Amino acid sequence: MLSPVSSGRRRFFPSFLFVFLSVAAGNLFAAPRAPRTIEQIKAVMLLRAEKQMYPMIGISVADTKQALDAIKTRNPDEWAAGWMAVGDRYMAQAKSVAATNPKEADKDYVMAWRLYAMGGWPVQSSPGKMRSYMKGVAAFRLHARFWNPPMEIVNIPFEGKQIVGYLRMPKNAKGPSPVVIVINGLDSRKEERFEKFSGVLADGVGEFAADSPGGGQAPIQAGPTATRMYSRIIDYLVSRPDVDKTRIGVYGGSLGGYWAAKLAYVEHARLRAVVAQSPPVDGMWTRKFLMTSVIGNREYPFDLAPALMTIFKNVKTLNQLAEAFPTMSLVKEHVIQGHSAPMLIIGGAKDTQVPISDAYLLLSSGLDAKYAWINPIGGHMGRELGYWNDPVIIRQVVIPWLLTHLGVTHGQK
Amino acid sequence: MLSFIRSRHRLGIGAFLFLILSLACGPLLGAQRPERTIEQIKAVMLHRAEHHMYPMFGISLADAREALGAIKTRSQDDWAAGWSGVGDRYMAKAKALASSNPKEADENYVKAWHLYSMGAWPVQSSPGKKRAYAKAIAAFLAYAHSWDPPLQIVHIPFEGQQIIGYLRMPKGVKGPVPMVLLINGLDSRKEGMIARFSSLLPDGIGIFAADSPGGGQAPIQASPTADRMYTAIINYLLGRRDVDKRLLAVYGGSLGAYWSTKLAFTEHARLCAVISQSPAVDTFWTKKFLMNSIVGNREYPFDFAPALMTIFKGVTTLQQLGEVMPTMSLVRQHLTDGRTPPMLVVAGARDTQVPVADTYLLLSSGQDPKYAWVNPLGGHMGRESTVWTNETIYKKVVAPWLLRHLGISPNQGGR
Repeated sequence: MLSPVSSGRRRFFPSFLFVFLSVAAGNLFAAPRAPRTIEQIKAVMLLRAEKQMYPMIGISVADTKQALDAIKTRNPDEWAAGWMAVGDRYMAQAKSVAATNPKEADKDYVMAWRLYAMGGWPVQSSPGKMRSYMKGVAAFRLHARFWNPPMEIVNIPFEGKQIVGYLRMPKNAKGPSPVVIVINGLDSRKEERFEKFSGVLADGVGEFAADSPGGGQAPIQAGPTATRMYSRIIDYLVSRPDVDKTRIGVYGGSLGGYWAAKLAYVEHARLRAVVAQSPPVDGMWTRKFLMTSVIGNREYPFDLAPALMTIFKNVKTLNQLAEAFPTMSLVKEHVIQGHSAPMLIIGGAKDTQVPISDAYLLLSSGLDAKYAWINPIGGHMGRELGYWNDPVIIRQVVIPWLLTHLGVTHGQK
Repeated sequence: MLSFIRSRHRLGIGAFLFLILSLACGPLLGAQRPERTIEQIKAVMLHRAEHHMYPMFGISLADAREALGAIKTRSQDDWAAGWSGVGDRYMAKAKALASSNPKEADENYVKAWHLYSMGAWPVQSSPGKKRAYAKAIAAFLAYAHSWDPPLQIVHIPFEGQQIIGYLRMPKGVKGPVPMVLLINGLDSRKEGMIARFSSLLPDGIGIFAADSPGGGQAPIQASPTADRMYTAIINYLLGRRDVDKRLLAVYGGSLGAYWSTKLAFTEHARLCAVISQSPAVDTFWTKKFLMNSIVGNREYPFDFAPALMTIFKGVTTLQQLGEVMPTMSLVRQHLTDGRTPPMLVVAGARDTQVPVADTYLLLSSGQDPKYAWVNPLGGHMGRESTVWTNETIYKKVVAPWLLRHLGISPNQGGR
């Protein structure tokens, strides 16, 4: 059974309401930049599909055009319906060929999953988006049934609920294997991140993913103490006989980079290597950054601030978001003064979603030396329109560094 | 023959003169922190010898005590004589043992080299310090005489003068080999660089070192165009049949990292990898940083600003130094906007000699991603007194990154 994160806390946050709240808050804050209109959103999504840019990687231009044509307003359920309709076509096609042509069916499951995920993008803040997300999870799991080594769905008891995680261990391992915990960001989900890291299996490394606090199937909302969810995941992994307790790594991207950076400190004794890609540390969590860069951000396709509201408990207004933000600062929490696990920090100097100064602050903080990879022409996550796109950074920077620091030689296995 | 850099540009700047100049420039540049007294210098050098800290590597506490015991004033020649006196003893011992016990002779040559080098430290700005430096080179070459693979002394014609370089090629390698060009800083010299990086030879890598502009045996002073000396060196190295043209890397530390960073931009098409350890990029070269952090700097044992003066042509006062430094900024030279080969920038967040802000500026500049290694507890070069010492940073950060970017797996033991 799929158990979405406590839906009572999920908020339907249409853009008109956001605009209204933004204007209402205008007296408290500086005037925010207006969000994109639906026509502007459609144009940017089409462009990103054409260039295969985030978050449209793997979605064809033809499918994008078809989905976007059906979307006429900024209503989130309409958004979800537009993408779901195209996804449904692939899902039906997959099911019809599942018995006769499993390979073809698998390709269709992947397409359906990506389209449903886009229907649920950036967060599942309306009933339609939630339906789309759940369809995405179902399609992903059908795709994952083709995997060898298989994907195990793990349910870890946690505070009366469950952490739903995915685990894959390498084939033919002689003894316990290293494992990487993969942490998604605000709008990505465990499914997407899990697939992106499956390349580590060939090198004898396992992977584990669960939705980050406040998103997907996570049992808790984001908050200054939400890293306890990851401590529980680490407890679980070190209790498994097939996991090498001394070689657990963590990767987190974007908001996941926040959790990864925090874990590098609070769990430094149990972690062997941590990669934090564009981690929000302090500057991101200020009211000033929220008002001047998060709201109406143009690097993000749409609704960055409204999406951020959904990860926190009881945050329904911009003012409440501005109050919740500073409590997340790793500086204010006095977290980044201590020892940390070996770290690689990835950043883009032109990042407008998380300031690069947060990466530099992290590098200069604590008691242990850290590695960095900074793209001077990269935006969020260090990615750019040219060579250094998301998959290339993962393949050429993240995974080689993780393997080295987990004591694994690439291609050795 | 040892050919010293044009001695007319060398300055015999005694501490008293520097203090007078500093005071004279006071109204123009603001009040400065005074340099250490000789007693303070002796205390700090002894402490660093005790903890094997920069620049006292390879010098025993007993030898440091003996040398410092003989030094009574801040006179540079007094300083040189104190260290050279102890060095002479080891040199004599080495020569006496040369034929009967070459191994022990070598150990004594090394000690003599280190002690003479300290006599000439930080720069060869007095007759006594020049003599100590010449003796250091002689002791080093006597030590290097037994190296296998051998040290080759290379003379590269350059603007009517010569670039004197040291070259070591790996043994038993068929075909062209990767090469690393090594660039020393303000007070280190090519001798130390070639010795330290010799650990790369068993991995099938060649190494080359020449003194950086304005220091040692360099043919030219430092200036915004002095990187042309490295262009000549690169021409020479890539002209050799035993060097792989696709695999030329550069390492620079401290002031050497200024040159390696500049080369990363100006010579990006011919370099496959560059490491810059605490590079001075822009802020370092400001008058404000000079006055607030370089003059009287306490991370540097003594005379940081006077030493910097000696690398520039015609700079004899603090005011002149304050005028020439901004011309060196890579930002002002519009160099940091372009392409670079893969780079690793190494730094310490507590560096008071070169601000870590210059590292972050470099990381955010140009067209290509760069790797960094930053020690939040580290000072200049990212080093600390305990965990991340110079040697550990070299072994665990610099050498592995170089090997990877030269296409060699660490500990592969050859190509």
